[in-house]
Amino acid sequence: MKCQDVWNLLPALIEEGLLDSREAEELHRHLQSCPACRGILEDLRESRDLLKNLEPVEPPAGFKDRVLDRLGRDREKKSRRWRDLFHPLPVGRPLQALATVLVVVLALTVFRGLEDLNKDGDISRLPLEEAVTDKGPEYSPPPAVKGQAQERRAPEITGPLKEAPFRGTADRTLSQPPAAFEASSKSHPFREPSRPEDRIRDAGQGAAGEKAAVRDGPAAGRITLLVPNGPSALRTVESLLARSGIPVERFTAGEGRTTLVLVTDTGRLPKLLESLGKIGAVSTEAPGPDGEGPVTMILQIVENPSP
Amino acid sequence: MVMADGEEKQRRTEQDGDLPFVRACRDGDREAFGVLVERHQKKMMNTAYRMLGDYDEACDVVQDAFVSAFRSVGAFREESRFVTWLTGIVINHGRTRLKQLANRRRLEGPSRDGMDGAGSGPDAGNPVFETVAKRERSTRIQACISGLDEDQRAVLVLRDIQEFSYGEITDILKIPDGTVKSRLFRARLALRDCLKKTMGDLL
Repeated sequence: MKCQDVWNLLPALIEEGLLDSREAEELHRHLQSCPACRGILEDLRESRDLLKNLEPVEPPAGFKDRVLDRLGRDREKKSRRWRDLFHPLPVGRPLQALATVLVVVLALTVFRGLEDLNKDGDISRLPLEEAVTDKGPEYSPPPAVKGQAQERRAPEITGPLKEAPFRGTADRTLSQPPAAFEASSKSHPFREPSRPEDRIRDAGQGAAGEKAAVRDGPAAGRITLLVPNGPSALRTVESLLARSGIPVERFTAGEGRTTLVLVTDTGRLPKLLESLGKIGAVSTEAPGPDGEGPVTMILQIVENPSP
Repeated sequence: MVMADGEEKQRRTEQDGDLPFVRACRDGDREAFGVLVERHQKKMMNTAYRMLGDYDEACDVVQDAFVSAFRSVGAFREESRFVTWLTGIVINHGRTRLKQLANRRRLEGPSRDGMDGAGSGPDAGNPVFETVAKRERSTRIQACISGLDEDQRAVLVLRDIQEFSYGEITDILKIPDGTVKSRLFRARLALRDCLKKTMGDLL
């Protein structure tokens, strides 16, 4: 064993029990024959003993209380920061008020979120413009119609008209939102939804509305019936349609205005218009009388006491 | 060996009588912390004093360390004795303070008292309790300890003065067991050289 190895083991030697018996034996053998290493060992022991026998220092009187005081001051500082924030109110009240407001806001947010989720498949979520631009496979852009309503284009039927059963125009259009709507509803989670009635009213009031209402359905037109008494006229019209076996859906669009969506055969349209003419003043924008096949008509009964 | 160390550590932890008080501290019980301060203040004071060589500085460091310990008692995971964990905090605060003092000394220039490394002692001005020779010896030993580099000093204080086990020193200083031993050996040799030079007739 070399001196260098011995030095590495000397600290362990002066600590009892840290060397195994083989190491201790080798070390002692070396020390017996090496006065230099023996000297170092003696010095180390002496140094260690000096350190062990150093008089310990005592903490100052009241040290514990000083520490606890500091902890108390820390706590007081923290609570004072809150108190200062709400001065002169006691801190408890504003915190409670704040918590209440947060809970209410959170509840409203969650409620609105749930409401929104529920309405994801609702017809009221359908944005009008997207319904118009989303052309179905059975719909192709209608050619312009010459004449009085040039800007309102009569739709052209390209799909299987005969097979198309009446499901209610509004229902057909609105209960199956186009894919574009899905993206739209996600990107506008809190957009104010419109009511179904409003949607139909809108559908009956313009070319875009008509497009929306008749998208990929049969040919469509619009009839406006001005009557002195709305409810009475509505009853008469419904009775007339029922007698004629024409299916109809009704939507109340607003004060003094009712919209009916009905499907009839194009050939029966003149007769229907004639009958309606007996109830009130009729104006119509409809496919030509020469057409064939089913036609969807949006019939709007408008109360007009002084026609 | 590792297994034996693990078992030893577990045994020490299980026997740690501080744990009930530590757990109470986690609920903010300051009285329970008062008990822990009472129990360990002397050991912590001596550790800090031997590290810093200045009684007043040691008082400040230990006070700061206790406050830190109370605030972060939730971080004590009971994998060692509480006193081991607490000593680690004292050593860290002590080292930070040593750096501050070194910076200050560098800015202010060399010390004028001629006893660099040996600051105020608890017995200064109270010679009744110690003979002059004893006090002088103590002061010189402390000067030699303060002359060691920081790493050696920490190991020396923890092992030869506070008598922590090697395993505990490993935990406190977060260094391997072999490093503890080699640092300790170098520290003892350096201390021996210093003592031979400065003590002379007092040895």
